Amino acid sequence: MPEAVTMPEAVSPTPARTHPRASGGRSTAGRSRLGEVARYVILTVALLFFVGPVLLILSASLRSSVEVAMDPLGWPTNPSLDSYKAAWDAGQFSDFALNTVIYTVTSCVGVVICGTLAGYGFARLRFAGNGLLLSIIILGMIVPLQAYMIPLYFQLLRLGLLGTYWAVILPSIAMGVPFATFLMRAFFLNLPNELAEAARLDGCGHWRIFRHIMLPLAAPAVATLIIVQSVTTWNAYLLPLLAAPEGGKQPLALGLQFFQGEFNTDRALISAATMITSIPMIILVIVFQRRFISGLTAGAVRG
Amino acid sequence: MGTSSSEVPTLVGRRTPKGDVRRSDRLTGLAFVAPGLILYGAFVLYPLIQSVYVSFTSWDGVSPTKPFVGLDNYRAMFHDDLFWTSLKHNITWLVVATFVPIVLGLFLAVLASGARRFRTVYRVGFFLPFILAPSAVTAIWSWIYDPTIGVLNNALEAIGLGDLTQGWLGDPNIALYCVAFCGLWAGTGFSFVVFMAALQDVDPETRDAAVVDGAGPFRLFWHITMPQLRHSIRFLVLLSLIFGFAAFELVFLLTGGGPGNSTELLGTYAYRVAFQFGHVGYGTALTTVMAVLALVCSVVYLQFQKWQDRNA
Repeated sequence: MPEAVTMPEAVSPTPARTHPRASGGRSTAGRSRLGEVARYVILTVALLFFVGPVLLILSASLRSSVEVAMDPLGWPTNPSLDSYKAAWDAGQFSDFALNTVIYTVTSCVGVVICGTLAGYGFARLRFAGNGLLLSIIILGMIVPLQAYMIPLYFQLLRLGLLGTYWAVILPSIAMGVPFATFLMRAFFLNLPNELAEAARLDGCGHWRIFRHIMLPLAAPAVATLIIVQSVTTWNAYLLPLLAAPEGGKQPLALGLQFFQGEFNTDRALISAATMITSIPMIILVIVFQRRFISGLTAGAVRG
Repeated sequence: MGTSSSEVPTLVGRRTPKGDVRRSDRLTGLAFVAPGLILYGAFVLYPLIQSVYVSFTSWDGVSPTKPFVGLDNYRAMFHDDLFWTSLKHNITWLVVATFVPIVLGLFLAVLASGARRFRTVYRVGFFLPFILAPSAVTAIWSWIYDPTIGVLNNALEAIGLGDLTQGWLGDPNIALYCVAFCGLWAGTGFSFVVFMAALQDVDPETRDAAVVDGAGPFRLFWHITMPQLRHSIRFLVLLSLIFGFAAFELVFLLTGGGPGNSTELLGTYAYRVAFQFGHVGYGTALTTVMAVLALVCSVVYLQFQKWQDRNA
C-alpha cells in the first residue's frame, strides 16, 4: 500500500470531518421511481435474510418448549422468560457467564495497558530495532490462531496453565496486542506535539508525559479498543476450546456448544441459551455501533 | 506478511518529531513496548515458530523427545488424499463464504448508502450476524438445517415445496455449501460496513460533475465510485485469503468435517490429526502449509495490485 497510512476516524483526536452525503437531493434527482422501489425491496429482503434467523431464535426463546416443537415458526403469543430461567439453571450457565465476564474484563485491562504503552513507545520514542519490532507486532494482525493453535496448546500444557483462567487470559491479551498497538500508535502519532514538548521543558519524563498528558487524551481511542476487544474475547471460541475445554472454566461461547449437545431437541431452551450468550454484545454494539465499526475498519478504508 | 512489509516504511518515516531523540529514550522505549512484546512473543510468535519446527518432526504430543524426520510430513501430505480434498474444500469456502460476501456487501452498501431512509436500520441489521459467537451462529443454523425439526424443511413443506426438502448438513453433496452459506450469512455484514464507511468518503462533487456530464448509474459506479473503493477491496480480499484458508469454527461446530469428510477443511483436518490421532508433527505441517498458502496468495495478490496500479 503505497499511500501513507492515514488516521482512522476511530482514533482521530479532532472531531471527524463531516462529509456532505453523496446521496443528497441533487444526485438522486435523476433516479427513476422504479429504481427507488427496487432499492427498498432488495434492502428489505436482505434485512429479512440477515435479521430473520436471529428473530427466529428470539421468538423461540420466548415460547415454551412444547409450543416450539409443535410449530417452530409460530409467533410468541404468551411470551415468557421461563426458557431463560431454565437454561440459566440447567446448564451451569451462571458459571459460564461469570467466566466470560472474567475473561472479557481481564483481557480488556491487559490489552489497554500493553496497547497504550506500546503505542506510545512506537509513536514517540526511538530505540534500537523499533521499526523491526513494530513490523513483527503488526504482523500478528493477519496471523490467524489456527496457524499456531497446536503448539500453543502444548505450550499452555507445559507451562501448567491448562485448567486455570490464565490459559485463556494470557493468549487473549497476546492476540489483542497487535491491533491495540496499531490503533494506539496511530492515535499518539496524530496528537499535536506541543503539549508533550511543554511538559518536557518543565522537566517531565516520558512516564509522566504518558501517564498525565497522553493517556487522558487517549480516552476515545481506548474506548474503541475496549469495545473491539470485548466483542472479540466474549465471542472467542477456538481459544477456549484449546485452553479451557472442561473443568468449569468455559466461557459462554464454548458452554453453548455443550448445552446444545445436552438438550439437542429442546429448541426453546437452546434458543434462550443462545440469546443469553449473544444479547450483551448485541446491546454493546448497537449502543456503540459507530465507534465499534470505525475501530474494526480502521485502516481499511483509506489505509 | 504482505501488508506489514509494504506499510511499515511509511509508518516509521513519520514517527518521531525532530530533536526528540535522547540516549535515555532507547531504554525507555523498550520499557514501554516490553509488556506487549513479551506477551505477544510468548503466546503468538513463539508458538508460530515452534509450529514450523514441530512440522519437521514426528512428535506425538506425549513423548519428551521430538524425533526429527526432515520433510517426511510434507512428503506424506503430498500423497494424502484427505489433504487434497480439504484443500479443495477450502477453495470452495473461499469463494462462497468470503468472496461472495465481499461482492454482496458491496452491492448492499451501494444500495443502502443511496437510500434516504433507514440507513441505521440496515447497518445494524446486516451487521448483526457478524457480532454473534460462532457457536451462536451454529446454534441457529443447526436448527434451520435440521432434517426433521428444522425450520427450513418445515417452511418448505408449509409453502407446498415439500419436494425441495433435503438432509442439508447430512447430505455429503451439499453439506459444504450449507456450512459455507452460514459463513456468508455471518460475514457479509463486515464487508458491508467497510464499504459503507468507504462510500461516505466518495467525493460528492466529482459525482455530481459526472452526473451533469450525463453519466448513468452504472458508469458512475464503475468510473467514479469503484476507484475510490480500491483500498477497501484490497483489505477485504487480503483478509478473505487469510481467513478463508484458516476457516475452522463453523465447520467444526456444524458438521465436524463430516459426513464422510465432505466438509473437511485444512483447519479441521489439522485439529483432528493433532488432537485426536496424536500425530502432532503432521498436524503442524498441515497448519504450516495453510499459513504459507495464505501468505503466498496474499503476496501474489498484492503484487498483482501493484502491477495494476502501475498500468492504470
